Amino acid sequence: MNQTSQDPGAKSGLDSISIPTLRRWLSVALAMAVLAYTAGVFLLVQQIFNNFGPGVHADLEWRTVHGAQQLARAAELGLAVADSAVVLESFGDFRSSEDVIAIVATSPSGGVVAQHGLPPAGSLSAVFALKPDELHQTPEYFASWSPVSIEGAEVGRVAMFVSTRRLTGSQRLLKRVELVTAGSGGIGLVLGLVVLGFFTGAVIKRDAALAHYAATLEDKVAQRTQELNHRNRSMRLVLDNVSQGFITIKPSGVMESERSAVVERWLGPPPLSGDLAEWLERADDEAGSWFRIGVEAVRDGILPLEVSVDQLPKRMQSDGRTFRLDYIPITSTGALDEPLQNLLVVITDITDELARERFEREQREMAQMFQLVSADRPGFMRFFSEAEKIIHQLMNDHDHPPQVQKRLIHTLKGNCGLYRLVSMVEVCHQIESRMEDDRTPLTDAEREVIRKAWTRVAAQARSLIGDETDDAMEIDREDYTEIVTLVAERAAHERLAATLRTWKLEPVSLRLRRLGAQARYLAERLGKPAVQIVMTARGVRLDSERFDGFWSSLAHVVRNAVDHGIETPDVRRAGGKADAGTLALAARIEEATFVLQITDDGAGINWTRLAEKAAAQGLPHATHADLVEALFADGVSTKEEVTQISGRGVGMAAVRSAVLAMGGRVLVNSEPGQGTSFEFRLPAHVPQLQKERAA
Amino acid sequence: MSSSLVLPEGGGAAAKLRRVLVIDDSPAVRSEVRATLAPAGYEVIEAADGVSGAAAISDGATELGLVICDVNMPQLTGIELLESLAQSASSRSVPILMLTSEGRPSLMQRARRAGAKGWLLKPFNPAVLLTAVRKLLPIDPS
Repeated sequence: MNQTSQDPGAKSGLDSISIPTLRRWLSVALAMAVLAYTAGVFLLVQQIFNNFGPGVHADLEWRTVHGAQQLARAAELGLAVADSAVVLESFGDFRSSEDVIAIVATSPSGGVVAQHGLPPAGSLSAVFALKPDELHQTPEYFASWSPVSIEGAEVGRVAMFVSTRRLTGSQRLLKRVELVTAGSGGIGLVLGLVVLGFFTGAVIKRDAALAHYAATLEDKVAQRTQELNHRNRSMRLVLDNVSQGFITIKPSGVMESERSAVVERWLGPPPLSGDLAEWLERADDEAGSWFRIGVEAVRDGILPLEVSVDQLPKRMQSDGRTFRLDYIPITSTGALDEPLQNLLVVITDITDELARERFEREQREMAQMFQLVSADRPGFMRFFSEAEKIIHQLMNDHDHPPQVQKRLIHTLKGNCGLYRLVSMVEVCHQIESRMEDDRTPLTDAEREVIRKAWTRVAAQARSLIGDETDDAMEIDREDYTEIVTLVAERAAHERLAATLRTWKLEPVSLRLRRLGAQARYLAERLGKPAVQIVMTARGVRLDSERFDGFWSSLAHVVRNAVDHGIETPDVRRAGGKADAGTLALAARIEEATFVLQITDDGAGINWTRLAEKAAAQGLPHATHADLVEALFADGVSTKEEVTQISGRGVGMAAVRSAVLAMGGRVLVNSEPGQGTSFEFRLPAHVPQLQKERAA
Repeated sequence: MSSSLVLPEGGGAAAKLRRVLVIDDSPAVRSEVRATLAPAGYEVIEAADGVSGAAAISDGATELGLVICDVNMPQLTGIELLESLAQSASSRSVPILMLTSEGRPSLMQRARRAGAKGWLLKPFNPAVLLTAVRKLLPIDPS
């Protein structure tokens, strides 16, 4: 009830009186109060004196006249005998009165008989000039005289002088009271006005300041709003123009209202549901559904926050552009073991960055290719034509089973890796991984990816090697010396012809040199010390066309030896071996058989582990022969990790299939801790002469 | 206190709640998981491949509180195992945590859709594994 009465209505009455008006009114009221008080006091004092003043006057008058008469009777005897002592005694109590100035007793002739006090000068004659009992008034005193007679005979006179001090004293006091009253009234008035002025002045000043503030408030608000708008505009400008977009989502995946406008430019209008996953899905179905599932996992909280956030998608595509996704989890205290409050998603357009990187990588690949072509032109050309063949098969042979396609891609990846064509290696690795998962054939999209990547590499390669076909012939110094010797010895023409015919065959030493170079390069990539390569291939030549597939499959054997076989330097040292591993490549001809031994001095094959793997695959694993068989089986690898270099267990299968295709066989000899040796025996169909020389 | 006295050793309802099946073709990984979980009070049993792992899960006699499963295994991959389990309603209640060197999102999504509760990458941090296991299968540490 009380509260309802304290509404603004009550306030408005006060509000309507301005403070200066109030001050004027208060000043007038104060002056009037002071005046009234002063006048009141003045009148009251006046009243008091008016009441008592005449009384004093009458009393003094009576004392003068009546005193003279009384003393005239008392002094009869003294005057009769003219004894001044008796007369003085007869004055009695009058002598001690403060009002009495003087009492004078004279003889009838006027001679002074007795005198108390001293009458004012010249006053005695003035008094006696009056009639008896008449009052003589002056401001200073009242006087009167009375005759003294005994039985009608005058014996003397008594004059009485009474001071008017009592009367004039009160009048002076009255004057003083009036002055003090008026003075204090004036001082009070002045003080009151000063105090009033001071307080109302302060109020007025404050009001003036308030009024000024109120008057300028609107301007200030307008100015501040403008500043804020400006700043917001700047912020928005920044948010909208950096190549980054910021979105905050709740753990439910729903976006908070504030976000960078640039995201809409990238992804189109946001979904009505506010669900970020739905928005991402529209642009990039794969990244979006990955994000949806990832946010679910983040929300579940089974894994620590940093682990589950790290599993969210990091890239997405939209409208031909590539975006990087970064995440900043926000918890109440900032510590990651707290429940998630929000997740800040930072989307960055990295299309240009990627294009630049790709360009740089292409430049690098080009430079490397140039180096490799300069160092071994025929080797590179052979790689190139073989890769073309594989690409052709992948593009056109839709009937190949997935396993074969995967093997081809694996070989392509391995060979491209040797020529450091990183972009091709990545493409192959990705597709190979996909095929590993679901064991289904190449899709058209994947074919297109391979074709594109290869077209680019091929264009670069052709610019280096030109359209030159593979019809050059290589002759090493040994061949040259041999033919010169034969001619000098005047050897038979048949012999010379046979020797020259071998020239169209490829020297195996060239192939071995390439394998050695690959091994050294792999060791470098794997961070292992340079591998010692020992090559033996004196004069062995083979038909290059027929052995192409075999040679390129050997890349897997070399890779296995360097990656799995040769241990890290500390392990080798512990086993009493030199830091750097050794890889021996030895080729020879035995009868009509080409024998190639590839031997490393590494850890050897872990036969027990291989047996476990074989058992897990359901393969026979009882005998050594079973295990060698398993070693070359598809999908068996004793390595735990799959890398771009090796580990899928695909490579050895590719080797075996190449060897079997040529009607050859493989022997494996491996001692734990000592190393592994592969011996390949292939029918050679070498010319007669070659056989002789080899023997 | 009194219940632990009544229960026979190595069996009964209490053991079921703390039994974790590890399916991985690598003995090294299996023993690493065992070394992480056994001291925390879990009973760890092992399967060396997807087929025997699936058999252990479907076998009603082996009562499990949690399954930790590899992905890349011969014959039956972890994903295939998970998807086949998702078909049969009976074993759906056992939470499954994937522990693998595989990081491809397509597989992670397939696993999640088939009901996997989490995906941990090898080489794993034992503390993280233990945190996740405790969340999925809380036990009284005594």
